[in-house]
Amino acid sequence: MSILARIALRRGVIELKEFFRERDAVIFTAALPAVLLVLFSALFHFKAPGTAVPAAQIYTAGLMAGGVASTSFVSMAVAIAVEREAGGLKRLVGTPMPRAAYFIGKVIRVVVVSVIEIVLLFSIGVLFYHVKLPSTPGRWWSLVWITLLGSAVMGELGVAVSSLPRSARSAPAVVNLPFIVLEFISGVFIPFFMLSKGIQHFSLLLPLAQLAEGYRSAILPATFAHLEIGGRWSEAAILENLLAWLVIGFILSLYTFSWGTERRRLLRYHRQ
Amino acid sequence: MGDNAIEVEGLFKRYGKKTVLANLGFSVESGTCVAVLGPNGAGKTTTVEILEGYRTWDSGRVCVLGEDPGRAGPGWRRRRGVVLQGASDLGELRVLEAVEFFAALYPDPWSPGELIEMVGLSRAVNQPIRALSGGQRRRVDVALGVVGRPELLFLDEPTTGFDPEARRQFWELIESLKRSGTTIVLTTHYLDEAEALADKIVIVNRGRVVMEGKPEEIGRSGDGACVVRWRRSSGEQVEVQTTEPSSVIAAEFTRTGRELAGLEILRPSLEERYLRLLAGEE
Repeated sequence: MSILARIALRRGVIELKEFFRERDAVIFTAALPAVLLVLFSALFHFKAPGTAVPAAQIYTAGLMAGGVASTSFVSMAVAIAVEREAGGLKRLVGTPMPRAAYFIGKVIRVVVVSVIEIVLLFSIGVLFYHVKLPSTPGRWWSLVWITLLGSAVMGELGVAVSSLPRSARSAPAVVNLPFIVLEFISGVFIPFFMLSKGIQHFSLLLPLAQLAEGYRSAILPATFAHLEIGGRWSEAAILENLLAWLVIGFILSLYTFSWGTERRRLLRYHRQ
Repeated sequence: MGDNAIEVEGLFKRYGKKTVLANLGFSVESGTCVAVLGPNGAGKTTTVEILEGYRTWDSGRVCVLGEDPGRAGPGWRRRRGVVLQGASDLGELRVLEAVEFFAALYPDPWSPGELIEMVGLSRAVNQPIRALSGGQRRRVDVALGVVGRPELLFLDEPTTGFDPEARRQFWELIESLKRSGTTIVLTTHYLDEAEALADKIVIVNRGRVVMEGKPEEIGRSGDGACVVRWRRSSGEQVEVQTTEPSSVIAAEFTRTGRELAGLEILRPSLEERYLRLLAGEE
Protein backbone atom coordinates (compact mmCIF):
# COMPACT_ATOMS: atom_id res chain seq x y z
CA MET A 1 0.00 0.00 0.00
CA SER A 2 1.36 3.44 -0.82
CA ILE A 3 2.20 5.80 1.99
CA LEU A 4 -0.68 8.08 1.00
CA ALA A 5 -3.22 5.25 1.09
CA ARG A 6 -1.93 3.95 4.41
CA ILE A 7 -1.99 7.36 6.11
CA ALA A 8 -5.32 8.32 4.52
CA LEU A 9 -6.87 5.16 5.91
CA ARG A 10 -5.53 5.91 9.39
CA ARG A 11 -6.90 9.43 9.05
CA GLY A 12 -10.29 7.95 8.18
CA VAL A 13 -10.24 5.82 11.33
CA ILE A 14 -9.31 8.87 13.43
CA GLU A 15 -12.10 10.89 11.80
CA LEU A 16 -14.71 8.24 12.57
CA LYS A 17 -13.55 7.88 16.17
CA GLU A 18 -13.69 11.65 16.63
CA PHE A 19 -17.16 11.81 15.10
CA PHE A 20 -18.79 8.97 16.98
CA ARG A 21 -17.31 9.93 20.33
CA GLU A 22 -18.80 13.39 20.13
CA ARG A 23 -22.32 12.47 21.13
CA ASP A 24 -23.94 15.89 20.73
CA ALA A 25 -22.83 16.06 17.12
CA VAL A 26 -23.97 12.51 16.44
CA ILE A 27 -27.41 13.29 17.80
CA PHE A 28 -27.72 16.60 16.01
CA THR A 29 -26.49 15.56 12.60
CA ALA A 30 -27.65 11.95 12.49
CA ALA A 31 -30.75 11.73 14.66
CA LEU A 32 -32.37 15.02 13.69
CA PRO A 33 -33.42 13.95 10.17
CA ALA A 34 -34.95 10.75 11.61
CA VAL A 35 -36.85 12.73 14.23
CA LEU A 36 -38.15 15.11 11.54
CA LEU A 37 -39.21 12.20 9.37
CA VAL A 38 -41.28 10.70 12.18
CA LEU A 39 -42.67 14.13 13.08
CA PHE A 40 -43.66 15.15 9.54
CA SER A 41 -45.19 11.76 8.90
CA ALA A 42 -47.30 12.10 12.02
CA LEU A 43 -48.39 15.64 11.08
CA PHE A 44 -49.19 15.27 7.40
CA HIS A 45 -51.48 12.69 5.86
CA PHE A 46 -52.03 13.95 2.32
CA LYS A 47 -51.42 11.85 -0.74
CA ALA A 48 -49.51 13.09 -3.78
CA PRO A 49 -52.08 14.21 -6.40
CA GLY A 50 -52.95 11.53 -8.93
CA THR A 51 -51.07 8.83 -7.01
CA ALA A 52 -51.40 6.69 -3.90
CA VAL A 53 -48.05 7.91 -2.54
CA PRO A 54 -48.51 9.13 1.06
CA ALA A 55 -46.72 12.14 2.55
CA ALA A 56 -44.62 9.86 4.77
CA GLN A 57 -42.98 8.25 1.75
CA ILE A 58 -42.33 11.62 0.11
CA TYR A 59 -40.72 12.80 3.34
CA THR A 60 -38.65 9.63 3.55
CA ALA A 61 -37.06 10.49 0.20
CA GLY A 62 -36.73 14.19 1.04
CA LEU A 63 -35.15 13.61 4.42
CA MET A 64 -32.76 11.04 3.00
CA ALA A 65 -31.39 13.89 0.88
CA GLY A 66 -31.54 16.28 3.84
CA GLY A 67 -29.86 13.69 6.08
CA VAL A 68 -26.99 13.12 3.68
CA ALA A 69 -26.50 16.86 3.31
CA SER A 70 -26.60 17.28 7.07
CA THR A 71 -24.06 14.53 7.78
CA SER A 72 -21.79 15.75 5.02
CA PHE A 73 -22.20 19.45 4.20
CA VAL A 74 -23.14 20.84 7.62
CA SER A 75 -21.07 18.42 9.63
CA MET A 76 -17.96 19.01 7.51
CA ALA A 77 -18.23 22.79 7.52
CA VAL A 78 -18.71 22.97 11.29
CA ALA A 79 -16.19 20.27 12.20
CA ILE A 80 -13.44 21.84 10.12
CA ALA A 81 -14.13 25.31 11.51
CA VAL A 82 -13.85 23.87 15.03
CA GLU A 83 -10.74 21.89 14.16
CA ARG A 84 -9.11 24.94 12.63
CA GLU A 85 -9.81 27.13 15.64
CA ALA A 86 -8.52 24.47 18.02
CA GLY A 87 -5.21 24.43 16.17
CA GLY A 88 -5.68 20.92 14.81
CA LEU A 89 -5.22 21.84 11.17
CA LYS A 90 -2.08 23.81 11.92
CA ARG A 91 -0.71 20.86 13.85
CA LEU A 92 -1.41 18.47 10.97
CA VAL A 93 -0.05 20.71 8.25
CA GLY A 94 3.17 21.06 10.25
CA THR A 95 3.79 17.32 9.98
CA PRO A 96 4.99 15.43 6.90
CA MET A 97 1.45 14.07 6.41
CA PRO A 98 0.48 14.28 2.71
CA ARG A 99 -2.21 16.98 2.57
CA ALA A 100 -4.44 14.79 0.45
CA ALA A 101 -4.61 12.25 3.30
CA TYR A 102 -6.55 14.76 5.36
CA PHE A 103 -9.22 15.17 2.69
CA ILE A 104 -9.44 11.47 1.93
CA GLY A 105 -9.95 10.92 5.65
CA LYS A 106 -12.82 13.42 5.58
CA VAL A 107 -14.37 11.65 2.59
CA ILE A 108 -14.19 8.33 4.45
CA ARG A 109 -15.96 9.88 7.43
CA VAL A 110 -18.62 11.59 5.37
CA VAL A 111 -19.40 8.53 3.28
CA VAL A 112 -19.54 6.14 6.25
CA VAL A 113 -21.74 8.45 8.30
CA SER A 114 -24.01 9.22 5.32
CA VAL A 115 -24.46 5.53 4.53
CA ILE A 116 -25.46 4.90 8.15
CA GLU A 117 -27.86 7.85 7.93
CA ILE A 118 -29.43 6.49 4.75
CA VAL A 119 -29.78 3.00 6.23
CA LEU A 120 -31.47 4.53 9.27
CA LEU A 121 -33.93 6.71 7.34
CA PHE A 122 -34.66 4.10 4.70
CA SER A 123 -35.31 1.47 7.39
CA ILE A 124 -37.78 3.80 9.10
CA GLY A 125 -39.51 4.33 5.75
CA VAL A 126 -39.67 0.62 4.97
CA LEU A 127 -40.72 -0.46 8.46
CA PHE A 128 -43.30 2.21 9.23
CA TYR A 129 -44.36 3.95 6.04
CA HIS A 130 -44.60 1.05 3.56
CA VAL A 131 -41.74 2.28 1.41
CA LYS A 132 -40.95 -0.60 -0.95
CA LEU A 133 -37.47 -2.03 -1.18
CA PRO A 134 -35.99 -1.38 -4.64
CA SER A 135 -37.33 -4.09 -6.94
CA THR A 136 -34.42 -4.34 -9.34
CA PRO A 137 -30.61 -4.35 -8.95
CA GLY A 138 -30.64 -1.16 -11.06
CA ARG A 139 -32.66 0.69 -8.46
CA TRP A 140 -30.47 -0.58 -5.65
CA TRP A 141 -27.51 0.71 -7.61
CA SER A 142 -29.21 4.11 -7.98
CA LEU A 143 -29.59 4.27 -4.21
CA VAL A 144 -25.90 3.43 -3.78
CA TRP A 145 -24.36 5.83 -6.27
CA ILE A 146 -26.65 8.68 -5.31
CA THR A 147 -25.62 8.24 -1.68
CA LEU A 148 -21.89 7.95 -2.43
CA LEU A 149 -21.70 10.77 -4.95
CA GLY A 150 -24.17 12.95 -3.04
CA SER A 151 -22.25 12.70 0.22
CA ALA A 152 -18.93 13.32 -1.54
CA VAL A 153 -20.25 16.45 -3.29
CA MET A 154 -21.97 17.77 -0.19
CA GLY A 155 -18.94 17.03 1.98
CA GLU A 156 -16.67 18.80 -0.46
CA LEU A 157 -18.93 21.86 -0.50
CA GLY A 158 -18.77 21.74 3.30
CA VAL A 159 -14.97 21.89 3.05
CA ALA A 160 -15.30 24.82 0.65
CA VAL A 161 -17.43 26.90 3.04
CA SER A 162 -15.58 25.85 6.21
CA SER A 163 -13.38 28.95 5.99
CA LEU A 164 -16.31 31.38 5.82
CA PRO A 165 -17.29 31.44 9.52
CA ARG A 166 -15.06 33.78 11.47
CA SER A 167 -15.00 31.50 14.48
CA ALA A 168 -15.94 28.00 15.53
CA ARG A 169 -18.74 29.43 17.68
CA SER A 170 -20.36 31.17 14.76
CA ALA A 171 -19.93 28.23 12.40
CA PRO A 172 -23.21 26.36 13.13
CA ALA A 173 -25.23 29.56 12.66
CA VAL A 174 -23.40 30.67 9.52
CA VAL A 175 -23.72 27.25 7.92
CA ASN A 176 -27.20 26.28 9.09
CA LEU A 177 -29.04 29.41 8.03
CA PRO A 178 -28.42 29.03 4.29
CA PHE A 179 -28.67 25.27 4.61
CA ILE A 180 -32.16 25.38 6.12
CA VAL A 181 -33.30 27.75 3.39
CA LEU A 182 -31.85 25.32 0.88
CA GLU A 183 -33.75 22.45 2.49
CA PHE A 184 -37.04 24.34 2.14
CA ILE A 185 -36.55 25.04 -1.56
CA SER A 186 -35.10 21.64 -2.43
CA GLY A 187 -37.96 19.35 -1.48
CA VAL A 188 -36.66 18.26 1.92
CA PHE A 189 -39.18 19.94 4.24
CA ILE A 190 -41.86 20.71 1.65
CA PRO A 191 -42.68 18.24 -1.16
CA PHE A 192 -40.96 19.55 -4.27
CA PHE A 193 -44.07 19.47 -6.48
CA MET A 194 -45.78 21.92 -4.11
CA LEU A 195 -43.22 24.64 -4.87
CA SER A 196 -43.70 27.08 -7.72
CA LYS A 197 -42.21 26.08 -11.04
CA GLY A 198 -39.82 29.03 -10.91
CA ILE A 199 -38.38 27.92 -7.58
CA GLN A 200 -38.18 24.33 -8.80
CA HIS A 201 -36.17 25.36 -11.85
CA PHE A 202 -33.87 27.49 -9.73
CA SER A 203 -33.36 24.81 -7.07
CA LEU A 204 -32.55 22.17 -9.63
CA LEU A 205 -29.41 24.14 -10.45
CA LEU A 206 -28.22 23.36 -6.92
CA PRO A 207 -27.11 19.93 -5.76
CA LEU A 208 -29.54 19.36 -2.88
CA ALA A 209 -32.69 19.42 -5.04
CA GLN A 210 -31.03 17.02 -7.46
CA LEU A 211 -30.06 14.74 -4.61
CA ALA A 212 -33.65 14.78 -3.35
CA GLU A 213 -34.93 13.95 -6.83
CA GLY A 214 -32.41 11.14 -6.93
CA TYR A 215 -33.85 9.59 -3.79
CA ARG A 216 -37.41 10.02 -5.06
CA SER A 217 -36.43 8.22 -8.23
CA ALA A 218 -34.81 5.44 -6.22
CA ILE A 219 -37.52 4.72 -3.67
CA LEU A 220 -40.89 6.12 -4.84
CA PRO A 221 -43.28 4.29 -7.20
CA ALA A 222 -42.99 5.16 -10.89
CA THR A 223 -46.45 6.74 -10.78
CA PHE A 224 -44.96 9.64 -8.78
CA ALA A 225 -42.74 10.73 -11.66
CA HIS A 226 -45.47 12.73 -13.40
CA LEU A 227 -45.19 15.32 -10.60
CA GLU A 228 -41.60 16.08 -11.47
CA ILE A 229 -40.54 18.83 -13.85
CA GLY A 230 -40.62 17.28 -17.31
CA GLY A 231 -42.88 14.53 -16.01
CA ARG A 232 -40.05 12.06 -15.43
CA TRP A 233 -36.96 11.32 -13.42
CA SER A 234 -33.69 11.90 -15.17
CA GLU A 235 -30.76 10.08 -13.61
CA ALA A 236 -28.47 11.49 -16.28
CA ALA A 237 -29.40 15.07 -15.31
CA ILE A 238 -28.83 14.25 -11.64
CA LEU A 239 -25.45 12.71 -12.40
CA GLU A 240 -24.44 15.69 -14.54
CA ASN A 241 -25.45 18.19 -11.89
CA LEU A 242 -23.65 16.38 -9.07
CA LEU A 243 -20.49 15.92 -11.13
CA ALA A 244 -20.54 19.62 -12.04
CA TRP A 245 -20.82 20.52 -8.34
CA LEU A 246 -18.00 18.11 -7.56
CA VAL A 247 -15.77 20.15 -9.87
CA ILE A 248 -17.09 23.48 -8.57
CA GLY A 249 -16.60 22.34 -4.98
CA PHE A 250 -13.04 21.26 -5.70
CA ILE A 251 -12.14 24.59 -7.27
CA LEU A 252 -13.85 26.55 -4.48
CA SER A 253 -11.99 24.49 -1.87
CA LEU A 254 -8.67 25.24 -3.53
CA TYR A 255 -9.31 28.94 -3.20
CA THR A 256 -11.02 29.11 0.16
CA PHE A 257 -9.56 26.39 2.32
CA SER A 258 -7.32 27.56 5.12
CA TRP A 259 -5.11 25.44 7.34
CA GLY A 260 -5.24 28.16 9.96
CA THR A 261 -1.89 29.49 8.86
CA GLU A 262 -1.06 32.45 6.72
CA ARG A 263 -1.14 30.61 3.42
CA ARG A 264 -4.82 30.48 2.69
CA ARG A 265 -4.85 31.03 -1.04
CA LEU A 266 -4.14 27.59 -2.38
CA LEU A 267 -4.05 24.11 -1.06
CA ARG A 268 -0.55 22.91 -1.38
CA TYR A 269 -0.31 19.29 -2.35
CA HIS A 270 3.09 17.79 -1.84
CA ARG A 271 4.28 14.63 -3.45
CA GLN A 272 5.31 12.06 -0.95
CA MET B 1 25.73 19.82 7.06
CA GLY B 2 26.80 23.20 8.40
CA ASP B 3 27.17 23.98 12.06
CA ASN B 4 24.07 26.10 12.18
CA ALA B 5 20.62 24.56 12.25
CA ILE B 6 19.09 27.98 11.66
CA GLU B 7 20.41 31.07 9.95
CA VAL B 8 18.37 34.25 9.57
CA GLU B 9 19.66 37.40 7.93
CA GLY B 10 18.04 40.73 7.15
CA LEU B 11 14.50 39.44 7.70
CA PHE B 12 11.67 41.87 6.94
CA LYS B 13 7.95 41.30 7.29
CA ARG B 14 5.09 43.74 6.95
CA TYR B 15 1.36 43.33 7.56
CA GLY B 16 -0.13 46.13 5.49
CA LYS B 17 1.66 49.24 6.63
CA LYS B 18 2.83 47.79 9.89
CA THR B 19 6.41 46.56 9.89
CA VAL B 20 6.61 43.56 12.17
CA LEU B 21 10.15 42.40 11.46
CA ALA B 22 12.81 44.91 10.54
CA ASN B 23 16.19 43.51 9.60
CA LEU B 24 16.06 40.68 12.09
CA GLY B 25 18.93 38.24 12.16
CA PHE B 26 20.38 35.49 14.35
CA SER B 27 21.64 31.96 14.13
CA VAL B 28 21.18 28.75 16.09
CA GLU B 29 24.07 26.33 16.35
CA SER B 30 23.18 22.67 15.87
CA GLY B 31 22.66 20.77 19.10
CA THR B 32 22.09 23.85 21.23
CA CYS B 33 19.02 25.36 22.84
CA VAL B 34 18.18 28.94 22.00
CA ALA B 35 15.50 30.92 23.83
CA VAL B 36 13.77 33.73 21.95
CA LEU B 37 12.51 36.34 24.41
CA GLY B 38 10.71 39.59 23.96
CA PRO B 39 7.60 41.50 24.97
CA ASN B 40 4.23 40.71 23.38
CA GLY B 41 4.05 42.14 19.89
CA ALA B 42 7.84 42.20 19.51
CA GLY B 43 7.75 39.82 16.55
CA LYS B 44 8.68 36.58 18.34
CA THR B 45 5.78 34.51 17.12
CA THR B 46 6.04 35.84 13.57
CA THR B 47 9.74 34.98 13.53
CA VAL B 48 9.26 31.49 14.90
CA GLU B 49 6.33 30.78 12.58
CA ILE B 50 8.47 31.78 9.61
CA LEU B 51 11.15 29.35 10.78
CA GLU B 52 8.56 26.60 11.27
CA GLY B 53 7.34 27.05 7.71
CA TYR B 54 3.93 28.49 8.61
CA ARG B 55 4.44 32.04 7.40
CA THR B 56 5.85 33.89 4.45
CA TRP B 57 8.21 36.85 4.68
CA ASP B 58 8.94 39.87 2.52
CA SER B 59 12.70 39.89 2.23
CA GLY B 60 15.77 38.42 3.85
CA ARG B 61 17.48 35.04 3.95
CA VAL B 62 16.07 32.21 6.06
CA CYS B 63 17.75 28.83 6.18
CA VAL B 64 16.44 26.09 8.47
CA LEU B 65 18.16 22.68 8.37
CA GLY B 66 19.75 23.74 5.11
CA GLU B 67 16.46 24.57 3.39
CA ASP B 68 14.15 27.49 2.76
CA PRO B 69 11.17 26.80 5.08
CA GLY B 70 8.83 28.56 2.65
CA ARG B 71 9.52 25.95 -0.01
CA ALA B 72 10.59 22.89 1.93
CA GLY B 73 8.51 19.75 1.54
CA PRO B 74 7.60 16.74 3.65
CA GLY B 75 11.21 15.56 3.77
CA TRP B 76 12.11 18.72 5.67
CA ARG B 77 9.03 18.53 7.88
CA ARG B 78 10.13 15.05 8.96
CA ARG B 79 13.32 16.53 10.38
CA ARG B 80 11.80 19.25 12.51
CA GLY B 81 9.11 19.11 15.16
CA VAL B 82 6.74 21.82 16.31
CA VAL B 83 5.00 22.19 19.65
CA LEU B 84 2.35 24.83 19.08
CA GLN B 85 0.91 27.21 21.59
CA GLY B 86 -2.54 26.54 22.97
CA ALA B 87 -3.80 23.78 20.68
CA SER B 88 -7.02 22.20 21.96
CA ASP B 89 -7.77 19.68 19.22
CA LEU B 90 -7.81 15.86 19.44
CA GLY B 91 -10.03 15.95 22.54
CA GLU B 92 -11.97 12.81 21.65
CA LEU B 93 -8.89 10.66 21.07
CA ARG B 94 -7.05 8.69 23.70
CA VAL B 95 -3.43 9.59 24.36
CA LEU B 96 -2.12 6.39 22.79
CA GLU B 97 -4.34 6.74 19.70
CA ALA B 98 -3.10 10.26 19.05
CA VAL B 99 0.56 9.35 19.50
CA GLU B 100 0.17 6.27 17.31
CA PHE B 101 -1.39 8.28 14.50
CA PHE B 102 1.31 10.93 14.50
CA ALA B 103 4.04 8.30 14.80
CA ALA B 104 2.75 6.74 11.57
CA LEU B 105 3.63 9.96 9.71
CA TYR B 106 7.37 9.58 10.26
CA PRO B 107 9.93 7.09 8.96
CA ASP B 108 11.71 6.46 12.26
CA PRO B 109 9.40 7.45 15.11
CA TRP B 110 9.64 6.78 18.82
CA SER B 111 7.72 3.75 19.93
CA PRO B 112 4.46 5.31 21.17
CA GLY B 113 4.52 3.47 24.49
CA GLU B 114 8.09 4.47 25.20
CA LEU B 115 7.48 8.09 24.27
CA ILE B 116 4.37 8.32 26.44
CA GLU B 117 6.40 7.06 29.35
CA MET B 118 9.16 9.55 28.57
CA VAL B 119 6.77 12.50 28.77
CA GLY B 120 5.30 11.14 31.99
CA LEU B 121 1.86 10.14 30.76
CA SER B 122 2.04 6.37 31.36
CA ARG B 123 -0.90 6.49 33.70
CA ALA B 124 -3.05 8.48 31.26
CA VAL B 125 -2.25 6.38 28.21
CA ASN B 126 -5.84 5.28 27.62
CA GLN B 127 -7.54 8.45 28.76
CA PRO B 128 -9.33 10.70 26.32
CA ILE B 129 -7.26 13.82 25.79
CA ARG B 130 -10.14 16.12 26.75
CA ALA B 131 -10.05 14.62 30.27
CA LEU B 132 -6.41 15.57 30.86
CA SER B 133 -5.20 18.49 32.95
CA GLY B 134 -3.59 21.47 31.24
CA GLY B 135 -0.12 20.22 32.09
CA GLN B 136 -0.85 16.71 30.82
CA ARG B 137 -2.27 18.11 27.60
CA ARG B 138 0.91 20.04 27.06
CA ARG B 139 2.85 16.80 27.46
CA VAL B 140 0.74 15.29 24.72
CA ASP B 141 1.64 18.30 22.55
CA VAL B 142 5.30 17.72 23.28
CA ALA B 143 5.00 14.00 22.55
CA LEU B 144 3.36 14.76 19.19
CA GLY B 145 6.05 17.34 18.44
CA VAL B 146 8.96 14.99 19.09
CA VAL B 147 7.45 11.66 17.97
CA GLY B 148 9.36 11.75 14.67
CA ARG B 149 12.73 12.19 16.47
CA PRO B 150 13.30 15.66 14.99
CA GLU B 151 16.76 17.16 14.66
CA LEU B 152 15.22 20.52 15.41
CA LEU B 153 12.36 21.19 17.80
CA PHE B 154 10.32 24.39 18.16
CA LEU B 155 8.68 24.93 21.53
CA ASP B 156 6.26 27.84 21.72
CA GLU B 157 5.65 28.87 25.35
CA PRO B 158 5.60 25.24 26.41
CA THR B 159 5.04 25.65 30.16
CA THR B 160 2.42 28.39 30.32
CA GLY B 161 -0.05 27.39 33.03
CA PHE B 162 2.18 24.74 34.63
CA ASP B 163 2.60 24.45 38.37
CA PRO B 164 6.23 24.67 39.57
CA GLU B 165 6.63 20.91 39.89
CA ALA B 166 5.27 20.21 36.42
CA ARG B 167 7.60 22.88 35.06
CA ARG B 168 10.65 21.24 36.65
CA GLN B 169 9.65 17.86 35.21
CA PHE B 170 9.19 19.46 31.83
CA TRP B 171 12.63 21.02 32.01
CA GLU B 172 14.11 17.59 32.67
CA LEU B 173 12.39 16.28 29.58
CA ILE B 174 13.86 19.09 27.49
CA GLU B 175 17.29 18.49 29.01
CA SER B 176 17.11 14.85 27.98
CA LEU B 177 16.20 15.86 24.42
CA LYS B 178 19.16 18.24 24.44
CA ARG B 179 21.47 15.47 25.59
CA SER B 180 20.31 13.34 22.67
CA GLY B 181 21.50 16.12 20.34
CA THR B 182 18.21 17.83 19.45
CA THR B 183 18.47 21.49 18.53
CA ILE B 184 15.78 23.43 20.37
CA VAL B 185 14.22 26.83 19.74
CA LEU B 186 12.18 27.93 22.72
CA THR B 187 9.97 30.97 23.09
CA THR B 188 8.91 31.78 26.61
CA HIS B 189 7.87 34.53 28.96
CA TYR B 190 9.61 32.87 31.89
CA LEU B 191 13.11 34.17 32.31
CA ASP B 192 14.05 31.44 34.78
CA GLU B 193 13.04 28.88 32.15
CA ALA B 194 15.24 30.52 29.54
CA GLU B 195 18.09 30.65 32.05
CA ALA B 196 17.69 27.00 32.99
CA LEU B 197 17.41 25.59 29.48
CA ALA B 198 19.03 27.90 26.97
CA ASP B 199 22.63 27.98 25.82
CA LYS B 200 21.90 31.24 24.11
CA ILE B 201 19.25 33.89 24.53
CA VAL B 202 18.00 36.08 21.69
CA ILE B 203 15.99 39.11 22.75
CA VAL B 204 13.63 40.48 20.13
CA ASN B 205 12.02 43.89 20.40
CA ARG B 206 10.26 45.94 17.73
CA GLY B 207 11.03 43.43 15.06
CA ARG B 208 14.77 43.13 15.50
CA VAL B 209 17.28 41.39 17.73
CA VAL B 210 18.34 43.81 20.45
CA MET B 211 20.69 41.45 22.22
CA GLU B 212 21.95 37.91 22.00
CA GLY B 213 24.31 35.98 24.16
CA LYS B 214 24.69 33.40 26.90
CA PRO B 215 22.09 33.79 29.65
CA GLU B 216 24.71 35.02 32.13
CA GLU B 217 25.97 37.65 29.66
CA ILE B 218 22.61 39.18 28.82
CA GLY B 219 22.30 42.79 29.96
CA ARG B 220 25.68 42.88 31.68
CA SER B 221 28.21 45.47 30.80
CA GLY B 222 31.51 44.12 32.08
CA ASP B 223 30.90 42.55 35.45
CA GLY B 224 27.97 44.86 36.08
CA ALA B 225 26.75 46.47 39.26
CA CYS B 226 25.96 44.27 42.21
CA VAL B 227 24.96 44.68 45.82
CA VAL B 228 27.15 43.52 48.73
CA ARG B 229 25.21 42.99 51.93
CA TRP B 230 26.30 41.98 55.44
CA ARG B 231 25.50 42.54 59.11
CA ARG B 232 27.65 44.58 61.52
CA SER B 233 28.29 43.22 64.99
CA SER B 234 25.79 45.83 66.20
CA GLY B 235 23.16 43.97 64.10
CA GLU B 236 22.92 46.83 61.63
CA GLN B 237 22.34 45.68 58.03
CA VAL B 238 24.74 47.21 55.48
CA GLU B 239 24.16 47.31 51.73
CA VAL B 240 26.73 48.68 49.32
CA GLN B 241 26.10 49.04 45.60
CA THR B 242 29.35 48.51 43.71
CA THR B 243 31.00 47.20 40.59
CA GLU B 244 33.98 45.98 42.68
CA PRO B 245 32.54 43.70 45.37
CA SER B 246 35.90 42.11 46.24
CA SER B 247 37.39 45.48 47.18
CA VAL B 248 34.41 46.39 49.34
CA ILE B 249 34.61 43.11 51.23
CA ALA B 250 38.40 43.28 51.58
CA ALA B 251 38.23 46.83 52.95
CA GLU B 252 35.57 45.90 55.53
CA PHE B 253 37.47 42.76 56.55
CA THR B 254 40.71 44.72 56.96
CA ARG B 255 38.90 47.34 59.05
CA THR B 256 37.18 44.92 61.47
CA GLY B 257 39.43 41.86 61.24
CA ARG B 258 36.33 39.72 61.64
CA GLU B 259 34.19 37.45 59.43
CA LEU B 260 31.39 39.43 57.83
CA ALA B 261 28.16 38.03 59.22
CA GLY B 262 25.45 37.15 56.68
CA LEU B 263 27.66 38.16 53.76
CA GLU B 264 25.86 38.14 50.39
CA ILE B 265 26.75 39.35 46.93
CA LEU B 266 23.57 39.97 44.96
CA ARG B 267 23.70 40.26 41.22
CA PRO B 268 20.66 41.37 39.22
CA SER B 269 18.72 38.36 37.98
CA LEU B 270 18.24 37.74 34.27
CA GLU B 271 14.73 39.04 34.70
CA GLU B 272 15.93 42.34 36.20
CA ARG B 273 18.57 42.73 33.51
CA TYR B 274 16.05 41.88 30.81
CA LEU B 275 13.55 44.43 32.08
CA ARG B 276 16.27 47.06 32.37
CA LEU B 277 17.34 46.33 28.82
CA LEU B 278 13.81 46.75 27.49
CA ALA B 279 13.31 49.93 29.53
CA GLY B 280 16.46 51.31 27.93
CA GLU B 281 14.87 50.67 24.54
CA GLU B 282 11.98 53.01 25.20
